[in-house]
Amino acid sequence: MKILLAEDDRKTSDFIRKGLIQNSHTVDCVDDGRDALSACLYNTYDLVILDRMMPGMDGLAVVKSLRATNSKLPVLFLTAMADVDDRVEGLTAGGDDYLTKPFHFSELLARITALARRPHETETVSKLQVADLELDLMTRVAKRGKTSIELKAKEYALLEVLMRNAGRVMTRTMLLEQVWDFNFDPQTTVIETHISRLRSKIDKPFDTSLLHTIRNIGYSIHAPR
Amino acid sequence: MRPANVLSGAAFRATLFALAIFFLILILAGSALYQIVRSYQYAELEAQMIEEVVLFRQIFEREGRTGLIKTMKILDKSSPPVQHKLGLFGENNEKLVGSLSVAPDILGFAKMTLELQPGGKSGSFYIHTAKIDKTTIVVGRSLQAITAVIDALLYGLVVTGLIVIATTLLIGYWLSWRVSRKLEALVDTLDRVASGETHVRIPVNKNHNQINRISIRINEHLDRLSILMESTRNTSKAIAHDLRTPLSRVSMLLEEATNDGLKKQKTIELIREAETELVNITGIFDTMLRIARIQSSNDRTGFSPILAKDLVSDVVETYQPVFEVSGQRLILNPQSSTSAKLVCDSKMIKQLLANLLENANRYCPVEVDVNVSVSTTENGGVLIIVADNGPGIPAGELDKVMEPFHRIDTSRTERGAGLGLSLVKAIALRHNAEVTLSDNRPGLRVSITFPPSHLS
Repeated sequence: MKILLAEDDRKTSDFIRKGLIQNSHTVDCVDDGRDALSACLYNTYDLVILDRMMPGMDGLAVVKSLRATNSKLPVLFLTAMADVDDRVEGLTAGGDDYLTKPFHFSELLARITALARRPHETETVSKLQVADLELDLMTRVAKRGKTSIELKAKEYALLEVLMRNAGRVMTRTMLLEQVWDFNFDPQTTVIETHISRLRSKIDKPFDTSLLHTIRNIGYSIHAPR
Repeated sequence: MRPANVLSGAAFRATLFALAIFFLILILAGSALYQIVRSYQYAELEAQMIEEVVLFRQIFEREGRTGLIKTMKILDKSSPPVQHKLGLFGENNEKLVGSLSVAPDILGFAKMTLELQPGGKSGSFYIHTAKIDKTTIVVGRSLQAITAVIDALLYGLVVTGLIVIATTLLIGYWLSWRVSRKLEALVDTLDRVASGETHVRIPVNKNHNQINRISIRINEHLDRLSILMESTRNTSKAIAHDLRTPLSRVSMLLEEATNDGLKKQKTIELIREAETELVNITGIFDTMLRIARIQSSNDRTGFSPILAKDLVSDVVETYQPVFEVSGQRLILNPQSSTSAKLVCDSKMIKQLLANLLENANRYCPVEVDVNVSVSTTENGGVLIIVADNGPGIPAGELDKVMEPFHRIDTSRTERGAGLGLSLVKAIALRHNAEVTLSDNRPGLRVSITFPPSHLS
């Protein structure tokens, strides 16, 4: 992917650039809001990572100007402004996702991947499928092969989010936001417990495991590789 | 107290203003009185003198010129020259009777300075000149009596004025001194509070005057302010203390990781561990920021109506498996109200409930039941109760646990920074709801009372 990184802190910028290049992305770096806006307007990027507080032009203003030109370029805010209200502000201004510093690089990578495939998400599907696991979105019934699996409400919501993002890593924060609508990190093992319940229903009774733990990052559902 | 402060006080200025008006009235009324008294006295004198001349005219008509001269001579000798003057002059202005040497030029009334005794001091006289046949008759009265009355009047006015001015000034100074003294006490109190003596309050007495009313209000504000200052001070102290422990752990872990003899696997483990600590520290900061933002903002754009039971059961379902794993039970009371509606920020209320459930999960042993219930209050509000039958909180600690960083176990080995209940309190306050901790006999009961939606 071709990514524009607008970040005025040199150390953070270098760290992200190196990491993205290692993951075979192309990266352009700017450290000023105005430069970021003109770079977006005169080049074709797949994604832009924007800091909020930058010299020249505030990150919010950059997104607003960008959206005013009808650009659909995915924007990921990466900022130290960690408050819920700041987040809402960033998303209403036209940002597509919001990640706060300090962050895990794997979290950033997972969000980049999720953003890049967003347009397809609007497709209406009635069934999700991963290997022999099937989730009917109409009847809300899960099946593995010919065995029906009974799911509780939260297990169903969790499985749906994982299957919609099949093959991709879903970080803890992403799951908390999308499954539980939590904007905070629980101090207990909420996610781990639900994952293990789900696993005992969709994986344990069968030969192959589909739900995988990505250590220190999150979870991913995919067919055996 | 400096006299300049008293003299520049509002009470004293008001007194000066009132005094100026009084002074003006005194001058106007005094001069009117003076005029009235004076003209009355003169009119009386004139009437007496006209009567006297009429008497002489009758004598002249009855006894002729010689008779008149004779009578006047007797009268002139018998009446005191200091009070009374008489004179009669012939056709050629030659003196016939009396002590006056020359006849006045004009007829009628006039003021004149005449000798009191022949060859002695002079005094003011009011004289009346008239013609009887071909002679000119002059009658005079001393003005001394009139002057005395008028002098007495003026003297009375001046003395009254001076007494009034002096007492008014004294009263004004006294009033202003009293007010200034109270204001100075007020300023002094504010200064002392600002310099750190948060317990000092403005002295208030029972009088229902303006200064007392203002003082009472200021004292109320000071109460709130000192609570705030106190909790800020405690919070900063607690932050410094609570962050020091994990920070020193991080620095120890990193120091160990840089040890040369270590295997790569061990190094990575140590760095990971340090990273986890840093995540925890960030979490503490996030929570503090969150509390601060919730407390300071009054924005209600995220608020919408929602069925309380839906919200509660969503969170309960999320936490039920966690409780089961720890051998506890989390139950949503089946008799919970299905119609109670909350106007709230649902994400905030989720966090509030999650914090309460996580506390119960963490601090209660196995086999404990945690009951959550939703009901409506008498006035149409919503009551959410989270009650457990665990060890509970000692009565003396119930008030303190909602303070930031307060933990019953002070060893600080537990995870979490003791901010959970502070956040619960902040969220509740933002919704105008009340949090009460009480003894569930046994266990802890947390009640969140939301006001009716039209009042929230």
